[in-house]
Amino acid sequence: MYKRQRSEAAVSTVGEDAKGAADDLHIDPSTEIRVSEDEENLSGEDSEFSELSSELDTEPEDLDPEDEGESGEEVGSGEEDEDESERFAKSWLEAEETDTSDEEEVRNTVGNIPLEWYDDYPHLGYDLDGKTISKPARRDELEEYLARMEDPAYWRTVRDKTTGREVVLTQQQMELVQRLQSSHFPEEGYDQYEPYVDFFSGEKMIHPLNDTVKPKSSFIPSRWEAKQVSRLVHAIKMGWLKPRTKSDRPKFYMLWGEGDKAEVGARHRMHIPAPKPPLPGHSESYNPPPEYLPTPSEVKQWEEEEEGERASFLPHKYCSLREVPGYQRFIQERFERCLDLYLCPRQRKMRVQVDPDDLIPKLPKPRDLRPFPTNETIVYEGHSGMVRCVDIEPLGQWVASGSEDGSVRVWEILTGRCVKTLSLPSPPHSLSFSPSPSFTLLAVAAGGVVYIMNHGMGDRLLVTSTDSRMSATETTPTAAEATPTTTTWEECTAAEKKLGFRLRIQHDMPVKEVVWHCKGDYLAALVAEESNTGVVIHQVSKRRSQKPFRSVKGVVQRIKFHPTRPLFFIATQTMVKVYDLAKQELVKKLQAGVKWISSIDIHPGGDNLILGGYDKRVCWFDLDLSSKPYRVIRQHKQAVRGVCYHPRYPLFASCSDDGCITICHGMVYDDLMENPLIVPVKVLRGHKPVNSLGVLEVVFHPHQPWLISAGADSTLRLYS
Amino acid sequence: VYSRLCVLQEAVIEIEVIERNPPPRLADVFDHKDWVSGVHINTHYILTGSYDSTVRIWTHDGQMKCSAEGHTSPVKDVVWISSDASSSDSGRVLFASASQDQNVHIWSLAESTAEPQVEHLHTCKGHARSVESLAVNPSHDKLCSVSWDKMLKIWSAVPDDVMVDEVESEDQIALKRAKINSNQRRATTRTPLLTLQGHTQPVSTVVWPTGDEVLSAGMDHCIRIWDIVSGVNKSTLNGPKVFHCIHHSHLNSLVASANSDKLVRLWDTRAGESSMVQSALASHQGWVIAVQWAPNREHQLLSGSYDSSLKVWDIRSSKLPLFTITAHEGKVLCLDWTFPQLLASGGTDSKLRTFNFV
Repeated sequence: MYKRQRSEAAVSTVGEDAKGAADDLHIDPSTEIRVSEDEENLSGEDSEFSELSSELDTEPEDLDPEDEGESGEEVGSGEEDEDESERFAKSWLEAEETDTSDEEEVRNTVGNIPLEWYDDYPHLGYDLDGKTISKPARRDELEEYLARMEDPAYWRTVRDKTTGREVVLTQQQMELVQRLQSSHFPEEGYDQYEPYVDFFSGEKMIHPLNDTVKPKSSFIPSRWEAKQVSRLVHAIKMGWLKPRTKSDRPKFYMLWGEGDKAEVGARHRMHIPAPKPPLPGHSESYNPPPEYLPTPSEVKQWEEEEEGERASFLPHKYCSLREVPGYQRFIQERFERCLDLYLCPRQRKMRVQVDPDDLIPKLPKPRDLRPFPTNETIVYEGHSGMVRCVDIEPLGQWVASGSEDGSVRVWEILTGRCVKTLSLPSPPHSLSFSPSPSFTLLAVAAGGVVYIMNHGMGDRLLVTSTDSRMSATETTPTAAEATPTTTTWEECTAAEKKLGFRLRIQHDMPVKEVVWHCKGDYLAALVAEESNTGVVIHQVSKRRSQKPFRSVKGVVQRIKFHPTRPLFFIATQTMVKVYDLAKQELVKKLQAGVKWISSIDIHPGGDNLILGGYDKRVCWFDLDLSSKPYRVIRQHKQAVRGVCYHPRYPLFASCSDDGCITICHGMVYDDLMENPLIVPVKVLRGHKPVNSLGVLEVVFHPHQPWLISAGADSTLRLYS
Repeated sequence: VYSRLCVLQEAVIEIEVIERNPPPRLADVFDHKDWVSGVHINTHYILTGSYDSTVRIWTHDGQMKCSAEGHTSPVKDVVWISSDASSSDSGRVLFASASQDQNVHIWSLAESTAEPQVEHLHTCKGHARSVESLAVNPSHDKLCSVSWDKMLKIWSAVPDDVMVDEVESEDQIALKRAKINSNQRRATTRTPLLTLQGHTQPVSTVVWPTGDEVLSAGMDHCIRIWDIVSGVNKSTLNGPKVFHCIHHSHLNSLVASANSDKLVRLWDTRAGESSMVQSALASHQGWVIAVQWAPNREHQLLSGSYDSSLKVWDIRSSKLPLFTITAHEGKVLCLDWTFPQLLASGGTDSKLRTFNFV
């Protein structure tokens, strides 16, 4: 009972308000009880009424007399109804505020149902005697109007949905409605901040509430719990019980996916704006500042330059805008702009998010790859024309060079001393020391003649034995007649012999290059022919010449013997052809992909080769790997003129017209699975370009990490 | 506070006083016809070899005494075999020259007569490439030569007419007989007493510090120490670069080397394999081509370089030389500091310059 009173506190408060009793609800038990009785009786109505008007939280007992009164006042339909209404009206008039419980009985007997169900009936439920309770009469429009005009209480009259009667709100109810509408507490003078008194837990009591002895079970561990725990532990051990995994599903998510919003976003992201034309600057002004105006020399230079290379526009000063003439290139530039716009690729490049440092291959540091040539040490001066060719004697004491001034000079490498100067009728194009250890021969190609000379600078015994062998072959009948070639072998004159020349091999066309086979008996010469080039192979011991390659397509640039196997390399302008000399067949073709091969060298191991190209590139080929370059090195700024491998150290060098020599570390491993390691280690400068020619040939010292270069500045340089 | 404490503690500071030498002064310029490639000084004379295949003998004050012609290619090295005329009997001094014509010539200079005469005694034939360097043993009776043919050859340096007491080998007897038969004073041909093989590349320099030990170095980047008695390569010191010249000091037993870079390196042969002593001496701008220890000062050495300068070093300061002399207009090719007060250097400007150094 007591609980119920508390739960209905708000309602009872309102009821007391209506009666003017603003006492504390808890303190007045009589009121409480009464209210609760009311509640019990009218629980259905109460809820219905609260639905009618949420703000109107009035006590139903207050409404009843008004309802009755009003209905009694206005309409009297039926005799019993009239009596009743009269009685209600009296009681309303007499005691508005007194409440009589017996009046409530006849109000509504249909219960908590919608009144529409009784729309078709003239009555509204039944009373205790089983008689119908007639509906309160509804006013028509006219009556409504009259009531509105005349009834002073019309504005505070509301219709009760449960009974269908009209209720005039009292003054207290009006105030209550107004307070609720203005968001105040319904009770006037309610102090929401009154101090809170904690009756039950606020005080500490020194004695326990009860003094009973605690049961044993309250302080021994629970056996049941232990059993449960052990079951859980067992379950965990057996893997039956797993920790709850957090679900990936977010707490809030789109049930039907992203919808078409994503599509719109993607289209928006793929938008590529048209490239913007560069904005005009000061120089495009009709009246540019004086520092933007070209000087006469600049104007002259502009006029000399090519149409495509120079700037399209020369700033000009006009003192007023009126004097600016029509721009002649306007149509052209607009057209180009339009071309730019519609020819520009409407495609977004997928940019890969990579750290640029990761793309750089992990190469060892150059200082770990020593030794390699680093400094210019000796300059060999003496030639008066550019030095075209250079070769080092196999033991590494002498270097021979041929120059445009028509001379071949032999130098001592260590001191830079020129020990021999030989003049030739035409400038030497190529020279080569015989690689054989038993001959002291040097082949020089000058004009259409290949000179075989005994340089006489090795072992004395070797020099004499070479001479004797050369003269011995002289006596044997030459087999030159057998092979119908256009070359003739001649013995040199006595004066030439004194200088060291032994044999002349006369060709009908200029010889571009001469190379020795590794055994030192065969000699290949590259001859420029009428239409293209031809390769002639000479055998020194038998004085015989042959042309094994009938027709080589394309212009042959360089030729080379394989260092160990019977292979012959012919570098045409775009490709390298590898011929097997024993089987006389084409073994392989290498596609260089450079615009005109300028030079070739073969690794002493024999499985790799490098090509230099006039398009500034150096290509490394692995012969076993592919016919495409294994690696392309772009280090030079001008055409590459020469490449060479070091016979012992893992080095190779390339020289170019910019006067630079690039040294690269090129390690070839014995393990066939491992690719060669190529690291550029040094750029050597020193040669000055002359007539846009820089370094023409480089050659490594046979057993030291030294390099000798022949330059167009008529010097040779030793780098160590 | 700390420094004050240090001062308060009685510490003995040893101060070494090193007398500062006056810088070397140019004494004389000796004009040659061609590059000067070898020089050796004794107490009276200066011996020079030149690229014009001639060996010349000069007095210390710049007078050319006489010249010896016999080589057909540039002379690469010259050496006095007996250091002084007084030390050898019969009043003559022996010297040897090595040349690119693959021979070593042994000459004698007779001082007894008023006009000094050079006599070509022997031609040592056996090398197959140009002979680069010569060394004489401490007892002045043997000669070691190194060559581009990767060999060392030991030759007898005693003239034939003195070698009466020695047990003569058959070929020597034959040679003598030939000489007697010809009955004229022509140079006789000598064959090597010993040939040492082991270098994998040409040998460029040799020194003979003690009686049975020869040090040679060359383009195979190592110094090899040879035992002459057994004729084996006792040990090898590996270096990083080509050796142009090595020199052994009898005062501190270190070996200085001139390599194909800008450094003078110091080696201790006693410490065994791969033992570069201290740091290298770095100040030259070109290849160091020649190096020689001071004959009387433990810590000093002289180096010559392709940057045309000579530098006098105290090895205790490795960064800065004591003196730098711009000696030549071209490269320095050879130098000598055998005579304590006289430095000499020859170069590609065809001049030999001597410097007084106290």
